[in-house]
Amino acid sequence: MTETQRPLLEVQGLCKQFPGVRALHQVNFDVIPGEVLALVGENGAGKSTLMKILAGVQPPDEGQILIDGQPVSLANVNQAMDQGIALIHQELNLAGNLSVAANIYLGREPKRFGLIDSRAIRSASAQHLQAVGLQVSPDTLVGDLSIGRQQMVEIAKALSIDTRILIMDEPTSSLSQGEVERLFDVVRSLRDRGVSIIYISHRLAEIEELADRVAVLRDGENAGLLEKDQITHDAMVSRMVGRDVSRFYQRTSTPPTIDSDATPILKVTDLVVPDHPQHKVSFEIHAGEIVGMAGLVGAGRTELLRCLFGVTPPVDGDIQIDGTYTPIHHPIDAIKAGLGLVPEDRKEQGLVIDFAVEPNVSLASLKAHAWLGIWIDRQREQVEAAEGIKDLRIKTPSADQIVRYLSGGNQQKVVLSKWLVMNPKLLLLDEPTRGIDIGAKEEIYRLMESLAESGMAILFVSSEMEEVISLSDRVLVMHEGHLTGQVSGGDINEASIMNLATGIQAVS
Amino acid sequence: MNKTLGIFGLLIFVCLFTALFNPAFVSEANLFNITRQTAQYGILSLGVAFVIITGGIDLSIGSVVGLGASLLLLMISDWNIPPSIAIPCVIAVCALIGLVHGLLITRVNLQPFVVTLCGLLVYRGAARWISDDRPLGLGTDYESIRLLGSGAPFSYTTLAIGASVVAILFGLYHALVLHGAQASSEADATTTKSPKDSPSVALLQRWSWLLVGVLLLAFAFISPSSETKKASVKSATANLEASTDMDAAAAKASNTPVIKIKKDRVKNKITLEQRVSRPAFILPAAVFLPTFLTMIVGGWTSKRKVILKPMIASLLAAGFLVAGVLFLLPVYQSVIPGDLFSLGFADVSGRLVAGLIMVSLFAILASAVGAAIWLLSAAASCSPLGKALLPLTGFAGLLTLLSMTSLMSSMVPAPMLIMIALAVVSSVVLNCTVFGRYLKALGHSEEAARYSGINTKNTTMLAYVFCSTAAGLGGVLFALQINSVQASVFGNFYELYAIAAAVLGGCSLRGGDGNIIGVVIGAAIIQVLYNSITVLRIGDKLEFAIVGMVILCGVMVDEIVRNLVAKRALLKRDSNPDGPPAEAAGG
Repeated sequence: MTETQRPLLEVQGLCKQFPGVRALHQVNFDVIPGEVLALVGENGAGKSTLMKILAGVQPPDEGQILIDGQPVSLANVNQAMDQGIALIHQELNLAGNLSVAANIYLGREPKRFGLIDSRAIRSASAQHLQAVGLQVSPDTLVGDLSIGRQQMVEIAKALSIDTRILIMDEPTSSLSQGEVERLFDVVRSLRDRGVSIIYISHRLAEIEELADRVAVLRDGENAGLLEKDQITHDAMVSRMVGRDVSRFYQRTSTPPTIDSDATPILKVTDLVVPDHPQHKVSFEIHAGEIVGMAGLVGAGRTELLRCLFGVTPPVDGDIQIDGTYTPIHHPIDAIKAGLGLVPEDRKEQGLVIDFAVEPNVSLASLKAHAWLGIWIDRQREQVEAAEGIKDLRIKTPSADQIVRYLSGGNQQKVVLSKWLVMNPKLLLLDEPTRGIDIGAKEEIYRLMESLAESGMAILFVSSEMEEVISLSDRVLVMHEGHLTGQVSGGDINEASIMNLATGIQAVS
Repeated sequence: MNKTLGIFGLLIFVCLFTALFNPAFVSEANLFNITRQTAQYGILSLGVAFVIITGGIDLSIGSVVGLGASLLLLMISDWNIPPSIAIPCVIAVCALIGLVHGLLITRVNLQPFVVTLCGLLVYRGAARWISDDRPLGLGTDYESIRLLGSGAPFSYTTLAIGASVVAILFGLYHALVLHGAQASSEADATTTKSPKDSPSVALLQRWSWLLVGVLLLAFAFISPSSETKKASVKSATANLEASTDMDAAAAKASNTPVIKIKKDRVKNKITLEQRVSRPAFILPAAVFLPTFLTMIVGGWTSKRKVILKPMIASLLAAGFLVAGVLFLLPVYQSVIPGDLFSLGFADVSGRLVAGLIMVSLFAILASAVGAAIWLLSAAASCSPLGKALLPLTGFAGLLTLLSMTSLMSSMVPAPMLIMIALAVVSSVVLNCTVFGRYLKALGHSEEAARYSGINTKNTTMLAYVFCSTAAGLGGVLFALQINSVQASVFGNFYELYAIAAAVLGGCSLRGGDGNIIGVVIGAAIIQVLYNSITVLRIGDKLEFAIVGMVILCGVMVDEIVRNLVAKRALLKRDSNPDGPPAEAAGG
């Protein structure tokens, strides 16, 4: 990187505030023509927000963006496109029922006599496809292509609008090894032609291989810039982590001493989750333990919990609950065996959002407590709801309030009290504190602790590193569908978890 | 609950409007017809309500009615199977149809719309095939079994006595068991918050159901058991042959009710003065007036602001109504539609004048009924006394209106008894059983229901079974009553009436919402509308248009009110993030 090269894109003092969250704070970086700049950071470090601002999806609160030294405004996606910035999302934005050519020119079809000039589209598309080395006919339906090839179509689409800066968000997350290689070749050839690429990925090994420079974000701030010769896995991780966890929630209880001979509450052997059929997962959880499950977004943690709970039943493998082998085909089986799941999507999965508090609390236990399994025990239902409201301090005008009109934290407490009525042996929690204010978060942490003290086993998934570190007795770490290892006791720290989560240090 | 009150208001409004222009609407024979049709279609609506609550739809009801009816008559008359076996067989076949629907929808994951649309075609074809497109009928052979569809076992007075006994028993249970438990639990929960009600109000609340029961009992006893008993029975039986349904089989006979009603008017000419001077009117009116005034005065003294607007609106609307009835109605009656009408300075088409009067009275009456309901609910929300008095007041008002009709001396059609039984069972199933709760939960959010360990597939399937079974039962009743089935048209469009009644009655096609009383009222509104179009001689060409508009308006108002309520609730939450105010907690 010579000093004389003028940056193509400069970002200066970018700030973005969301209600209750500081997503970006004084972020600066620049992109030189014809380089691959990798952007790395933990979940929630601000990468997505930054990229949305650059692509014109969201406006920044403060700061400016310069292209060729001129300040520009990127108020919407079209303005960003005019400046030559294109974003390729992790989930591709292609219409599967249209041809490759039609997709490339979707929304800006060249017209002839008021009709779409399909011949022009086809010939122009063929050129762009050649540029990305994709050998398919422009008439092929996009839906018939593999994900890797669809990605190439996206890139071809970006090239067709004279893109100078191409932002790629997790482009390799659903590609096979061969497809990844091919993608890298295309990226390199684009770079050689002078296109700048902002490459966002959780896969640090890929970045080591591909990137010319690496910008690290942490908690919405710049956390360092690595030049080509400085790019190593350790250097990146050490800049990504380094948060002060001691200010976070402090556990009051001491972790239980687990008798290794005791029967575990949950013992999973060679479980094959349908979403990641190539991996087998084995682990166990004992009574009174709080086990955190860490991993980067898309590591397959939610899928694992859903599989354990029978929402997407396992393909293969054994699940033993309290020492007995338990086949789980439906949540009914899981609940019968003493499991409860606080799902990731509170509004769609956790609650019947248009029900009042009371029927939500009783929903899972309704049948078990009904007379002959038919007649609802109204009185018991009322008592359960009242107890839930009192014990979990749910702020609601009455048990008849529709849960839609409760705040996020109180909604989550309703989900929790639904399972507490059942007194489960193992409680699975998926992102239990997402979208919840600080006060309610601490109440939920305290609740989890007291439940564990009373002998319940708890397995929770969280993308917030502090949460995992300060609450867990033991942390299971996942990476791309398989369990890369676990850390426990004093070894639980950000660096050890990140090493496992980025898939570098796999424990056999 | 408010929603049910709203469409009940709509029902009362349509009835009042029709009765205002043609008193024959409230004659015994006409009320018998309306209630029988309400019962027949109501049975179909109750069935489809369960499916709609799951978020599904059943378009095959009409064809199932046709198939069930054809099959029944075929079995009895051609195959000589005794009715006591044929009827259960037909209903079982229909239940099986529902099971197939449920299996296709939950196991093969087909869309309910598609499955039942195909069903609509398949069962129609099957009915035509098995009957060979012949008109089917029992003739005069099976009179006794036909009573199931066409019978009239006793008058509404008897039904009212029965209902009052139930109300009194429930009133005792409520006062002695439920109320005590409620009071003690409330005392536990919020000892400090809720202001102590005065003892008289508490007493009133405790015994209100009993009072309602006693009032109904007294009303039933003093109601004239028959005004022109012979005439009504005769016209009811005459009507059986004429079959005044709006199905195509009876299309030719669509003029019959008008003629018959005209006859009725001549026969039982009971003037308004006579009706008003009867004890059956005086008793409920004597209960209604003082309680209503007490409610308003109670509201006025406690929350003047809330009650002022509805009071002014009610007074205005009442004034307009009186003026309209006194001045416009006589003009309407004197107009001869075909002739010119002299306004003094110009001659206008009589049809135009009649139409204008009808439209203006329509608007006046609509606002009067709306204002009255507004005033009642405002008065009830103002003071605890008003809340305690509301059931009694509302009920007395209803009986006052009823006493001006011939309903109590009219006979109860047999299908009405069957529908009431079905409605009670449905209501209990929906509100008191695990199945009913599961149905509502999965209707709102199938995913959340599954995550809570509900077998959503089996629950959904049962709803389809119930729907088709009810359609089969409806088909049996229709067939027995009409006694003439042409498989190619019998039951055409019935699914749409059933769905419309359920939607009007508060079932959301999005799933989850629905209540049984609302569905029955919805079915009644549609039948009353059809009847009033005939009675008012608006012309059956406009039938569909009018029914469609009324349903559209009903659903639209409901949606607007729902959005308003939701917005208000969200505003309330956002302004009080730390929890709602204590005032709201009292409710």
